[in-house]
Amino acid sequence: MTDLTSSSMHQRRVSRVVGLLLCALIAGTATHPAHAVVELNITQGNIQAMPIAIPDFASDGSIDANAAREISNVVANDLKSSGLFLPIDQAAFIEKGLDVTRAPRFEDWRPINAQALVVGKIGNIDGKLRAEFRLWDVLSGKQLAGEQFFTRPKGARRVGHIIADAIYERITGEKGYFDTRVVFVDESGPKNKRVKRLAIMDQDGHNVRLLTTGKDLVLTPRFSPSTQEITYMSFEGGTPKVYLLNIETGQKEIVGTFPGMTFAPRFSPDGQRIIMSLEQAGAANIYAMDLRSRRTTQLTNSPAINTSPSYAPDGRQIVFQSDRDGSQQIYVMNANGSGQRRISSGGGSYSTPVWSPRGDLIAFTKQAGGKFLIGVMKPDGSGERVLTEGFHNEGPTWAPNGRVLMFFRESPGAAGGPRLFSIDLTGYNERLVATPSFGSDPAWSPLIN
Amino acid sequence: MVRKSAVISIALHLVILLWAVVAFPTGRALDAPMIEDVPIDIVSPSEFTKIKAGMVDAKDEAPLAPKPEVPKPKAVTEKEPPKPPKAEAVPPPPRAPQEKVEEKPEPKPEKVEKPKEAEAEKKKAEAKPDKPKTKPKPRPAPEAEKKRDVNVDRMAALLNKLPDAASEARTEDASPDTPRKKVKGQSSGMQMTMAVNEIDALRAKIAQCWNPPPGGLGADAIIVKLRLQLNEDGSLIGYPTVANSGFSPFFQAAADSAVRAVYQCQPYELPAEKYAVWRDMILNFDPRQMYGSG
Repeated sequence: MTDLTSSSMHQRRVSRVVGLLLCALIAGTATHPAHAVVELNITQGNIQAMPIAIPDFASDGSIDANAAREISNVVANDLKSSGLFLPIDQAAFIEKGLDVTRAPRFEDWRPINAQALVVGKIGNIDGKLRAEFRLWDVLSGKQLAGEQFFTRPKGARRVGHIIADAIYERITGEKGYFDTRVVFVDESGPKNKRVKRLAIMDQDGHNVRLLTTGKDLVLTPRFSPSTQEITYMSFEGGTPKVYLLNIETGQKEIVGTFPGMTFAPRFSPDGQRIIMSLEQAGAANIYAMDLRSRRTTQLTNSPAINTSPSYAPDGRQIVFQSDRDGSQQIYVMNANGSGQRRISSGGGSYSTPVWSPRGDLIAFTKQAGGKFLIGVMKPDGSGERVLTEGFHNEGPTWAPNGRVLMFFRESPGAAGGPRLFSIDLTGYNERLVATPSFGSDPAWSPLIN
Repeated sequence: MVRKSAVISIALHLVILLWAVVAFPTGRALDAPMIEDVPIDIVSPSEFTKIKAGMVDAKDEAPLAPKPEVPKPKAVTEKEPPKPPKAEAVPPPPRAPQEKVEEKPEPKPEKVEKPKEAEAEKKKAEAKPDKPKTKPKPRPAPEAEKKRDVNVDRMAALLNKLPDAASEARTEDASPDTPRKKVKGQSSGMQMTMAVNEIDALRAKIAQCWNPPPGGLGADAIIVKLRLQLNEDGSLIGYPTVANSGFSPFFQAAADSAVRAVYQCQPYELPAEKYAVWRDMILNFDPRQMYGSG
């Protein structure tokens, strides 16, 4: 009896428990937030240069106002030349007398459609140039960046480039490239008797300096990725020699005499090795040389012309050009020479491949259907795109941020000659780079520290 | 012997329990394909009547709770089939009876009936948060989930008189201090969604202002999810927040461009009577189509 009662009670208890469990379970499945949220996809945009306001930088009184203005002009020109920014005409500015130490009146900048605003001040402190700037987001009123620099007074233009780099980096996410130099071959004189001299300049064309006399043929300068040194080929004395030249000190040394060298060497990303192509018996193969031990290692070994090698930014792979398949194509291999495989696949002949410092693209020259093209492709060969087409487009070189390319293009005719051009990797913003006379074979330096 | 029956009883109960566990999902959000939002409101008969009547001082009808034939679940079910964005006004397959929740093809001229006011109030009341509501609230994409939630809700209502939609409706009706204005009745309760053309206009406007930074590493695949709230005049409340994350400076640049776009394009012209629908938004800035890979 007791048993039965207790068991039925037990049963009821169990069922009650189960029932509660069931309800709890159900209840637990059905809680939701309390109100609707509309969710939309925005899949189209309107890509254009960002309107940015760059009022003249102010002087703190210790330097001439013009000197301060020169720096903001450098900033404005750099940003504009990238094609990603559009400095607003100063005539449209409403607020005057900005000071870097206080916030601007944003309501004066919004009506002129400025999306960003740069305010700066320059002064001379104890013989050093001091520069400070702030980058403002006009729409939200927030400060995006603000820095202060000290530098030698002669470095005024460099300060402008450094500030432009900071602004560029903050807004685009890319590393900057304005505080860099370009080494190239300056060509002058009549077409059949060109004088070729090694020259170096700021990336915006200022401060051109000639490095050689022009007595001997110089070719294919290349920048070291880590130091301010360049290599180039010179036929001084009749045989091709590779020189190492320090830009800052002017010190020059011979890396080696390489009979049969077809192309100037390129540095490895750590600056410890150079790779080059040496010709023997009708073939050309790629060698790596350790700069300290001077030991060379042969990387390719085929009865073809293998040349124009370039390291990937991580130093683990090398891209080069080879005609082993019957036509000039682009190949990639591991840094020790293994795993050689072709990546180019379009029709036409490919040459001068260079790996982007960003790692995601390889630029090249391509000849197809009588045209000369500069293009890019991914390291696996896919996504090939033409950036520009022209008469004798050749020799692309990447800016250190892997975003902008420089190359040279020959203008036809007796009075024609090579000139330097730059272009964004999206294919936009092709620009002539001003040089004192004709110029070819550009090579872009890393950011100057 | 006693034990045996107890065991059988427990076993059978466990079977039911297991069945419940299996049959009723855990309410996890489903990965529904992204379609243009079709916000759905679950309209109780009392609300529906209110809307139709256009009255503002309506008292609530009798509690609806245990009525098995709660029309709202049906309402939701009906709205589900028309998946594509055109769904906003699509008269779902006319389910014969009781459905006045039925459509007569709404000329959805947002001819501003202010019946939306009633909706707005209801929404406001609902938005008094912290009420653990078991009733599934109107939610954008996962319609299928709604369906199941409703079934669950119904079951709960049937089983144990848990607080459900009806009592909630009661609370809404009873929501005290919301200022009530005269509103005109509406022929159906189906207009509380954004029309396709409204959505398209909004997207087009924002697209004009959106300047995504091109060419960055992986930039063609960076998606930015923004959450924002709007005032009734279409201006932003505060600052949009970035609801997803990425660690590269390119993500930062993309996020900045999205925030800038939204900020720049305000105020947004959206139908005032649907304010409750569009006041809280999530925008997914997705450049893949622009680069041909989306």
